Amino acid sequence: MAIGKRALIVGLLSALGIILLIQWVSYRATQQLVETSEAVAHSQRVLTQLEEIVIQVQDAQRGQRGFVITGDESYLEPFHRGNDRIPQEIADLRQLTSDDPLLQHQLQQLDILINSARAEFRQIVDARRNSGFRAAQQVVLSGEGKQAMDDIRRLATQMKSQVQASLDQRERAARTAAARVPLVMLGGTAVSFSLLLAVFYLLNREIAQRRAAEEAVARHAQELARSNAELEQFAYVASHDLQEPLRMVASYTQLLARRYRDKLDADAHDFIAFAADGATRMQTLINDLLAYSRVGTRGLPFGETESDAICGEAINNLQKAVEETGAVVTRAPLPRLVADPSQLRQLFQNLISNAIKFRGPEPPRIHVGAGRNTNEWLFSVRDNGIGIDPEHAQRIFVLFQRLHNRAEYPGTGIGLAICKKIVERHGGRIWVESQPGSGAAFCFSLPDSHPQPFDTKERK
Amino acid sequence: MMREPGVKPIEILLVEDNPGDVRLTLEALKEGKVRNNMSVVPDGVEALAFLRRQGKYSEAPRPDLILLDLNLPKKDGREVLGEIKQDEALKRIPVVVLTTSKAEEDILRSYDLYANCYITKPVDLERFFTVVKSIEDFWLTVVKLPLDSKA
Repeated sequence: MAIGKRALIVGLLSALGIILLIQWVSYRATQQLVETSEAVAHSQRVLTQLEEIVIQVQDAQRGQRGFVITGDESYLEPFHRGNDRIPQEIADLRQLTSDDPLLQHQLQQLDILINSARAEFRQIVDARRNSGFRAAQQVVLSGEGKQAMDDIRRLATQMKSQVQASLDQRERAARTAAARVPLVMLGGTAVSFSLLLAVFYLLNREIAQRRAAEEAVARHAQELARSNAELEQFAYVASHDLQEPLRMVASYTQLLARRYRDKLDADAHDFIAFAADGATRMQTLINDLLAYSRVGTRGLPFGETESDAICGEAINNLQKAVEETGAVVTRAPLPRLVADPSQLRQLFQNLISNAIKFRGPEPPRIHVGAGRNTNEWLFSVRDNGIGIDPEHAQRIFVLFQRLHNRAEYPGTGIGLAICKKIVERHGGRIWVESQPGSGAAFCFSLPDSHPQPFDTKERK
Repeated sequence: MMREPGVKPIEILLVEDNPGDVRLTLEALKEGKVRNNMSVVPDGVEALAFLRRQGKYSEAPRPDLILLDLNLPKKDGREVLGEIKQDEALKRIPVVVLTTSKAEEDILRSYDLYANCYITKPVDLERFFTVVKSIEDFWLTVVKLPLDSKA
């Protein structure tokens, strides 16, 4: 069961973990896709901006050339416009690429190249305006302008392909991540589903096992209750049906004695007396057996019971024996508890009457006490009688077990067996603490938490 | 049975299957004062036949008192009691349940079926005799019974 429980927890946690992993992977992939599309847009802007700068520079060059050739100031318009806008365009691009140190560095170089190109253009324009076509031609022919433009184009192209390359790489990564999502989702779902199925299976099996165990226990309890009930029923019926023939034996023996008193000799009277005595004893035994079997089958439901008053009634019922023996029966205040009042009375009565019966040479002094134990009441009936050898402490509670012969102490050996049965019906224990010659204390416990009697099935 | 001219003896019906008990009851009544005429039937079916004067009991007297055992062959004493107390012609005859059973449910059941009283047979002979005499005294001399219960 313990291994099963650990497997259940591991299985459930793993399934949960896998579901979380799937969530995380798809979240990551989505995020990457969003980032990539943002990056694509950004790169497009960078590329466009680069393009724009190159076009502006080319426009400025074209305007400058037109002016040099024609001397017409109107050709200078794109030249001026380019000059005006280029610094702003470069600043914009610098801002766009602020997160890329390599591009920043290259842009720095581009800026220098463009500035030197623009300075040359201005020089050529100035030369044309002030010194005429020839002077301008001289400056152009020096070749620096062409070199600068080539450098600008080359650098711009390099930058463009660089942006494109990093963009491509990013897109590839995003595609790979996106492609992984369905795999992870499918695999993870399959695994967590299997785990959950396994957990379900284990749980089911455990529930089935537990139910089977419970059923087995219930079956055994039922079986036990049934066989107990059968036994008690048997004892009840047997003792009941034994009464009938016994009555015949007893009655006709007595009738014989009554009608033929004068016609029989002393021996015949002796024989009749033995027969009558046997019948009487057998009747006592049967009645006791009946009483014993009734403890389990004829008990009352439990209710709030004043054990003090109940004990008082028990002592009252023993008034005759108390007076005859000069017994002094005292009791401490006894508690209110949940019990079968008539059985509790019988319990006190049996124990007190036992204490009187097994008295020593002194008049009996009997004390009934009660104390609290954890979750139960502990009662004791203490006497100053002949006591019991601890060796026999268990035996005396067994049905028909006697320690003394009938001539010394009459009885069938059933009183304490009934006490034990009553206490056990209340969920408690009974025992004796004693030494020969120094009195005995019969103790029994009655637990608080025992609102239902331990009964075998009620007879109809 | 003892019969004196001019005084009609009391009619008793004993429903009892155990001959030992029949004899004991007879012996006890023999020691009693009241002149009686006891009829005995051994089971419940015969008891009802007797009371309804069916078959061989067509000449049967109407009893003044019924002593009924509970555990009977063929028809249980409880059923017999139930049938007597539901029969318009028989229900006024006093029925004394006389049984070995001390069971609470037998006592309750009998009174629920309108038994007139319930007595447990004592094992001791003296006490049994005393009980039978008490029944006789009480039901046949102390109690005033309705006229129509006399045959």
